[in-house]
Amino acid sequence: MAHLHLPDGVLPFYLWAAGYAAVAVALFPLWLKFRRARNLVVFARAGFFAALMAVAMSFPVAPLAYHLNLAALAGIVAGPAAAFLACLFANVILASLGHGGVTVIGLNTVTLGAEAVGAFAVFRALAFIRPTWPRAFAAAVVALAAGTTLAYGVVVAGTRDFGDVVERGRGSVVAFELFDHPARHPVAPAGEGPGEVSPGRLAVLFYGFGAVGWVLEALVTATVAAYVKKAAPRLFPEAT
Amino acid sequence: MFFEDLDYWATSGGGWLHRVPAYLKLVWLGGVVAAIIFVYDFLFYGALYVVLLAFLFTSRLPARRILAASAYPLVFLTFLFLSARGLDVFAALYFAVRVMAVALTILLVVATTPLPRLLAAGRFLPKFLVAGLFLSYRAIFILAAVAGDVRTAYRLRGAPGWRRPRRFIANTGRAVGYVVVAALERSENAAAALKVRGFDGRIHL
Repeated sequence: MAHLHLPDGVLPFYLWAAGYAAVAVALFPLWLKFRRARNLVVFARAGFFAALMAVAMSFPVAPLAYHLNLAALAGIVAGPAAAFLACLFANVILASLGHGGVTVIGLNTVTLGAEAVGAFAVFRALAFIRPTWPRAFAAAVVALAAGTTLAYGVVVAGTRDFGDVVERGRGSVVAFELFDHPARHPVAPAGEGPGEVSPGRLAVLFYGFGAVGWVLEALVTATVAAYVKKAAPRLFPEAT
Repeated sequence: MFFEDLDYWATSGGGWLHRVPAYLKLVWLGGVVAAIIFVYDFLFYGALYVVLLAFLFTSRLPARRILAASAYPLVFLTFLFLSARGLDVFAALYFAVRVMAVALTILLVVATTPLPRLLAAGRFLPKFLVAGLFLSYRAIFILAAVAGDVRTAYRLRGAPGWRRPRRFIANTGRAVGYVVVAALERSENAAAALKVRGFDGRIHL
């Protein structure tokens, strides 16, 4: 619930290619480890958690497309390796439902994976807090805030030439005079032309809607983590 | 659940698009993705969207549900448009058609091709990625059944709604918790089964 899944066709090639490269770099040691040790538990956990995330993300829980993403929970309960892999699988599955793009699977995985790994790291760092609920809540809020910040950074970096993309798209249409061309209107100062995305406005929207999502998701994450610890302690990796 | 419906349409549908080989659909999807990188022309995307709509309406698929799913990227675009200065109707229409054309292409491919066949056609992908996706695909139906049972039990016991937020969140957390425990237990069983069957990182599709 912390951020939106990026769609295809908005971000430039270099950015989403960098997303795929980042995922490849993150997965390489995991792949080597899997080849050597055949750690099937991590692999199977990733597969089942990806399914769980895909199921959770396809159920809207509130208006404005709010849904649980369970990335922070995956990090806390399944561990960082399985959780990151689960984020990749979940994003591929979601892309096939039209929920997030194919070209941006890498970037969406980096964002979601950062939440999962961040939640694990914070949960581990807060080992001095004995009860699971507040510890998981704090870990989830911090990780989700970091995930939102990462997504915000990606969108700001990727929409710097938003206006140019619109202008290039307008090329053939202007020839047919289907739409009025902004060049007929007074020219705006540099950086404030038509189509320029305002980082300030975007931050208000991202963090405004995101903060509600952090709290809701963190509440569910903390309750689930506490439930798993109580109902099936054998399955809960004690991260202390 | 939309995923179950998509799988049902893909496996039981009898439209002409269902009979097109999976690799050709992947080539078509690759072409649309390449267009996203190289083509900026509004008229191209407008024409592509019209062609895709023609595919949708002639392939015996539930058009309204697929169109609704393909409109999901508009949520993101709305945020972007609200934060952009001076965007006109053209810009909104241009981006809407651009992102919805890709989303509709993907949905048409997935709604007319069973996922195992798509994965089998995707031989160029890393083996462990294909195996993981197949495992996730199988797990979705297992967990959806568990989640459905939990949801029924939750409702039968008088599930509190948003009017009692504290109880709603606590109960939702416990319900999700039960599904998480089921997922963890089943993943252990799956790992044991894979080991017994000598899984070498590759699933033969």
